[in-house]
Amino acid sequence: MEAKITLSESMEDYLEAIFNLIKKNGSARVTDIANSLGIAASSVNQGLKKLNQQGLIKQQKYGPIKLTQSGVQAAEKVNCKHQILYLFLHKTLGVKPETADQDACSIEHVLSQESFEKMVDYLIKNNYIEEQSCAFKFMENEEEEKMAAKELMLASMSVGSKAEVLKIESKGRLKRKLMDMGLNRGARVEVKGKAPMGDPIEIKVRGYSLSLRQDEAAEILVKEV
Amino acid sequence: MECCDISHQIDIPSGSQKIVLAGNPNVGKSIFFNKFTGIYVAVSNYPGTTLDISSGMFNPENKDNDYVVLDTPGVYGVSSFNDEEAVARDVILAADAVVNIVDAVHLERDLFLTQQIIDMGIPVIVALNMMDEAERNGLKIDIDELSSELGVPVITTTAIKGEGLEEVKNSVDKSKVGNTIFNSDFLKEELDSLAEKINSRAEALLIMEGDPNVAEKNNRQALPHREKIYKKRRHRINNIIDSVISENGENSSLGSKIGHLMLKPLTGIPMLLATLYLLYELVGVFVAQTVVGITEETFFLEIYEPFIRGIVTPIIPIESFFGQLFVGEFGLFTMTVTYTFGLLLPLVAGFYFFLAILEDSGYMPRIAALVDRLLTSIGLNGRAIIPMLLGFGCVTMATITTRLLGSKRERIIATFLLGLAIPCSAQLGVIAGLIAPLGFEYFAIYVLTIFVVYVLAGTILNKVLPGKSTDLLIDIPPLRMPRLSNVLQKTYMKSKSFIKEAGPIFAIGALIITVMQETGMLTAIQNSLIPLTVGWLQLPKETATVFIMGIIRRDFGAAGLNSLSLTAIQTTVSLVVITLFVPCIAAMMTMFRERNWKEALFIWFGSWFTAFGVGGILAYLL
Ligand SMILES: Nc1nc2c(ncn2[C@@H]2O[C@H](COP(=O)(O)OP(=O)(O)OP(=O)(O)O)[C@@H](O)[C@H]2O)c(=O)[nH]1
Ligand SMILES: [Mg+2]
Repeated sequence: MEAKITLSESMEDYLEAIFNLIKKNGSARVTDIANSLGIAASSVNQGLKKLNQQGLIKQQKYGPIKLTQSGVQAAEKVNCKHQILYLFLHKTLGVKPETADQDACSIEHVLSQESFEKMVDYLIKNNYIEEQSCAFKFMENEEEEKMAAKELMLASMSVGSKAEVLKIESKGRLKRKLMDMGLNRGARVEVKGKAPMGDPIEIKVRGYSLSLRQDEAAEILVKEV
Repeated sequence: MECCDISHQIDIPSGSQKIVLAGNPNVGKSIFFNKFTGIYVAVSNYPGTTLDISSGMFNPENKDNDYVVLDTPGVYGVSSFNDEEAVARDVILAADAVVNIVDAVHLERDLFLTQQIIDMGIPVIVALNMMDEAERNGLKIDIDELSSELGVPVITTTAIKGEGLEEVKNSVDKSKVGNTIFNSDFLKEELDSLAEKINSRAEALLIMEGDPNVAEKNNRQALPHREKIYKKRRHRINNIIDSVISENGENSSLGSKIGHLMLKPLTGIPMLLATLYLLYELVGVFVAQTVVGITEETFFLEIYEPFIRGIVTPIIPIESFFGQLFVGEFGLFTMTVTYTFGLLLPLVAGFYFFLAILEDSGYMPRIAALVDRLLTSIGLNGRAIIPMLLGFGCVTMATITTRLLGSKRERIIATFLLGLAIPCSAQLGVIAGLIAPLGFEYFAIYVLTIFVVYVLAGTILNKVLPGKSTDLLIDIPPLRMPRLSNVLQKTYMKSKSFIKEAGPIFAIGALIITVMQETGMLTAIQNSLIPLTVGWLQLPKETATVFIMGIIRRDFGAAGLNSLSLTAIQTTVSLVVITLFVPCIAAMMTMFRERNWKEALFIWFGSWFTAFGVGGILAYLL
């Protein structure tokens, strides 16, 4: 899942609008989006271009706008935050439905994952949300994502696991040597074995076997794949 | 540091073209050199075999030009971390054309250097080597595509079978300046203008990549574009790889399985011990006893020496000075010849043979990884096991190999330990021959003593010298079947240079000893050393002769112990002393050259001190 993209507030608004329009009419057109957000069609086009670049929507020339899979996910997430905020404001604090809806619209873009989770917890405890609420899906996804994209140091990987290099934190000549040997961002590595006392470790990178110490591997940030 | 001027090191006839063999470590550069020039330089299956430049002439078919070929130490990038990288960089900078040897199996790694050399603007021709292994692994590479992507000719080769080498040799003038990563959007103007200012595109690139040495040489600041350039280069190589490699079989051969077992603690350590035991059986038992029994005892002592005495004595009486000099106890035609050819040569050759097999198999870097942890505790690096093991062959040659270590500090420690506690094969053979009959007990005492001294000396040096062990980062090559032709050739070359080196020194030693004996100096020295030999070490006073001989060569000294009658304890003590004793003259000269006179002298006097100190303590304890 590539939801790591951070979207600006207006982009999220676009996404949400497209998402709701598709849900309502089965498709979204530029004029509809402009109407629902109350802005000019030309600025909508600009926004769509950006979303397109980020791989969130697909648009044939002059054709209807479709959301890509990650687009759907991103939109669903914003939408869900909106729902939760609305419920929280309305049900627990007793804010008027209209105000709650409006405030949710502005807060949803800046709400942190932590606050979101705490609100969901609170709402569940007080029986304000049902089992099929979007909140569950997102809490789960988030967990999975954390599990899947676990960032760790190469040194702490177990034998047999594979990873992708994110960053070399060593300095100077060691760094340069690592880079010369092909251990730079994006390189796939596999831990092949460990010598007595766990040091040094043998990894496979760019098709060859490399033996390096725990100390050296402790400066290479990787993401398990 | 000297930079970019290689002409003072190597004779290059003016007007001839400099063809530089460059590439990652262990890709076959030296085989190319051997085949191109007919000069043998060592080929082995571990990264870092070649540590210095070799040069030779060759003349391709139908060309009037003379070419000088230069073999370089393997590098992963043109930059300078340590000596051999600086050496390789300077030679590449001075090249008229580079033959870039690339390991087809590790294309993804190797092309990074290829692209860097291309970016330097040097004409390149790529030799895609190890095609036999690529085929075995089911790798399919689109050669034409690779060539057009890089913009330079690509020729496939299998160097060990000689395939494709002629073609490379005859195509050196077709080398081309390839496609660089630079364009109008990416640093091109900057590079071009810098190149114009300092009048070298290659050096300009290195400055942009932040090489401090090259920047300093041009009186400029190193520039901070390395990350950008590397990223782009990596990106480009990944794209090329994607478009030229169609099938990439996983290597699950028996070799790679054994290779893994060698590195795993549970299997690796027993395998290492088994290898050392095999070495002991081969050199210590088979060669030192059986073979030497035939060569030294049967042939040289019983047949050769009487024969030569029979020829010489009728002309020069044996009691005369010259009689003693030629055919006496320490005679040039008797003892020198017998020791050199009957005793030491079989030992040395046996040892080199075994080492050559180890070197060719790819086991060495695996041992290095296995013992890294232990060696870091004495301030060294796993790699240091390579000079240490080679030291058992010949300390002199091993001293040169210490260059593969990453820092001056490690080279000092390794050189010192080599000089102090590693007995060379010649000596080892004699020692094994003397100690084996005494039983396991004494063998264990001997080994343990030397080991303790080794570890203590290392630990002390590690504490005293500032700094810490350098990074390991050793590339583990695939296991390969040793090639008999290479093993034999290497054994022959090394044995030959042993004879060349040791022979004359022995002769001089024999001369000195004879002169000292004839003039009565030997007895005088023996008597004056009585407090040391008899008092402190509890040995007979004649052992002084052994030590005097040991100053010249330790093995010479050890061999001298053969003729003394000693008790078991005395033998053990004297063997410990002679092992720890000063390195031979040749090794000293190499240490002097590789390090400097201060360190060489420190090692020399340090050995005296340690040898007698430890010997005395041992004599007291036993
Ligand atoms: N199978 C196979 N092995 C090869 C081929 N070419 C070289 N080798 C082996 O690769 C190893 C390295 O060869 P060298 O010539 O020492 O390599 P180098 O590039 O000079 O290595 P360094 O001096 O350490 O940089 C040796 O064990 C060779 O036998 C080839 O075409 N096929
Ligand atoms: Mg070489």
